[in-house]
Amino acid sequence: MLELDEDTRDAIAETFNLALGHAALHFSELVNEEVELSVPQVALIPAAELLPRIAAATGLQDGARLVRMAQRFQSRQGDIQTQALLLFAERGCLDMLARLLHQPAAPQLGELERDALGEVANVILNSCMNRLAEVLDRSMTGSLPQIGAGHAAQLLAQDTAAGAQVLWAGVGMKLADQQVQGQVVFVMDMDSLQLAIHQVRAYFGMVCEAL
Amino acid sequence: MNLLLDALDCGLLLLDSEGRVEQVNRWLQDRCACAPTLGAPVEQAFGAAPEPRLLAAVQACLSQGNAVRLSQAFHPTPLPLFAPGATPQDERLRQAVDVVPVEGAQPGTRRCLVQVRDVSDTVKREQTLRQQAQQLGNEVLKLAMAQREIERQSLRFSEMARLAPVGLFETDTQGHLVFSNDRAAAQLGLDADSYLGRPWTDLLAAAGHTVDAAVAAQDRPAFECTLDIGHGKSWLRVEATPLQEPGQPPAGHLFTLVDVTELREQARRNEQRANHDALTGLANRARFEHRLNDAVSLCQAEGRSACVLFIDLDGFKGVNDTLGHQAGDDVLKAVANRIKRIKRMMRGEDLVARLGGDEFAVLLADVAEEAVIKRVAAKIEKAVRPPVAVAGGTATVGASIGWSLVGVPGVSAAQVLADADQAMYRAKRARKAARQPTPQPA
Repeated sequence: MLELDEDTRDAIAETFNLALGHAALHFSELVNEEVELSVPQVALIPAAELLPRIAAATGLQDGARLVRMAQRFQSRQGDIQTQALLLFAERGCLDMLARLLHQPAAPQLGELERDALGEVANVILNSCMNRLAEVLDRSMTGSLPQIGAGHAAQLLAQDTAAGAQVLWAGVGMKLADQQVQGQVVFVMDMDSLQLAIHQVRAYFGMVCEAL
Repeated sequence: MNLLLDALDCGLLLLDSEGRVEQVNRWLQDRCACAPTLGAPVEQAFGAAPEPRLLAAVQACLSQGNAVRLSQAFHPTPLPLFAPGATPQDERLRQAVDVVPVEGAQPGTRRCLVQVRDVSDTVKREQTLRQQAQQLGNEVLKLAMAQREIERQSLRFSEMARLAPVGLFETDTQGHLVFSNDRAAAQLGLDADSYLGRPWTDLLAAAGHTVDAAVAAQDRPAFECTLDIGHGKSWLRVEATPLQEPGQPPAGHLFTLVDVTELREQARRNEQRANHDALTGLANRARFEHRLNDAVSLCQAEGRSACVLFIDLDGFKGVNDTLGHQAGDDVLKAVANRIKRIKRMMRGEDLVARLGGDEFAVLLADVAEEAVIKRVAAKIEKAVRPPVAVAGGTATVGASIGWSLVGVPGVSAAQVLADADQAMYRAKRARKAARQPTPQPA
């Protein structure tokens, strides 16, 4: 079980701060509205804790529906692979879309909502990954976003089964007066995770043990 | 390979590592106003420039390996594409664009695959669905509001029915009971709900009043009836109004039941006050004159006779002056009682009245013989004569009586009364003269 010391956690948080700063800028251009993104917390957690952690951070009730936006990234060398997730409570997500698309909130995700959400996820996850790629000193190739919606436990089953540990970041997204709580999660295999942490520490000039 | 690409129902554009057009499939060519130039940079290859966001996506794809999705919601027309056969003046196709990194021809290089889907129909369909959903939502909202209004009206009606100071019941088109409020049940003294589905006339019959069939058949039955439901007799006014939308046949009737017992009692008291003397309870002058008028008309029309006796008390002024007004009133009440109790007066056809002060009058029906009249007058004189116990002692009065016949052609009621009055005065003078000592010759 990997653990993050305080310095490493700070370093990752700082990396996300920078990454999300870029994401906010792009997102803001996209929707012609001021968008604030923040990284309140970063943690390395067992995959099984992902659901309770998300529930606690978003105030999600049991059985509530989530929207999951996922992109797969892989380093050119193939030594780091990660599934990057952006998660929102479905209700808040539909409200946000209604605001972005200037139309009444849809009762559920239709084809056009998924299309728009794909771009929102893409802007945020690509921005994060581009900044992370610099820190990881890797060129990371990404896939197109996959959008899914459903009950939280069902929706995240594949993620909690994929890796022993996940790198979790709770991120607040604020559009003018509308507060939407989103979660960014990186699901990695153990090798990728170890290498990623090593690269972060190296980037910030922290003492690294040889891998 | 080209055959396969051309068969696809989406546009494919392959850009080399420098962002130059390397390959374009048939779908995309068919939708460009001018055919894309192979080898040209993407920003120049389509005649009109693509949206900057598409160019930025291509740049991010080639330099950083980002896969980028451009949603039609934010970028409806990134490329100048038109429906096959359309011109650049026509509306551009709505597009969803994916920009995906692919391996370059040389190891370590990247190319960029731009995939374009025409979502014009999807957008139109979604807009239509959205409009329909909105309309449906509005309809549902209207229905919900109408439902709420109905519930409110129902609540309002049931509260009004509960609080109404009158009894209410409702019937259907067949006249069968469909609703009654608690007050109606209380007024009728029965469990009205057990009569639901039965004719409304059953309800009243059960309470003790049989509704006349002709009344029941009326469009707006209205009548008063008396019921005895255990706490004495009561009077109920029953009125029905058809429940009817304008231009529609009646859907039933709404009945109101108003307890008019108090009103009737009040009317009776008013009638009593208007027609009777408050001190003695006898008919007053107005009532006497009214009855006399009727009697004059009747007798003259039918050739019958009646008689008016005019009575004035002798010695009454003395009682008032010596024993006081209370004693005077006691005397008047006693005299009234005594005259009323004379057997002849008990028939109900005759009328005894106090005309005012110490003057009384009697209307004797169906009488013509002087002997009978004189007998009645004698009985009255006799009845009045005994002393009356009054406050402070006893008082004795007498009666002077004059009479006049009713039914003489051409003689009015007022004349009859005046004649009787004069006759009474003559009698009084005669009595006084009789009591004077006869002058003795000197």
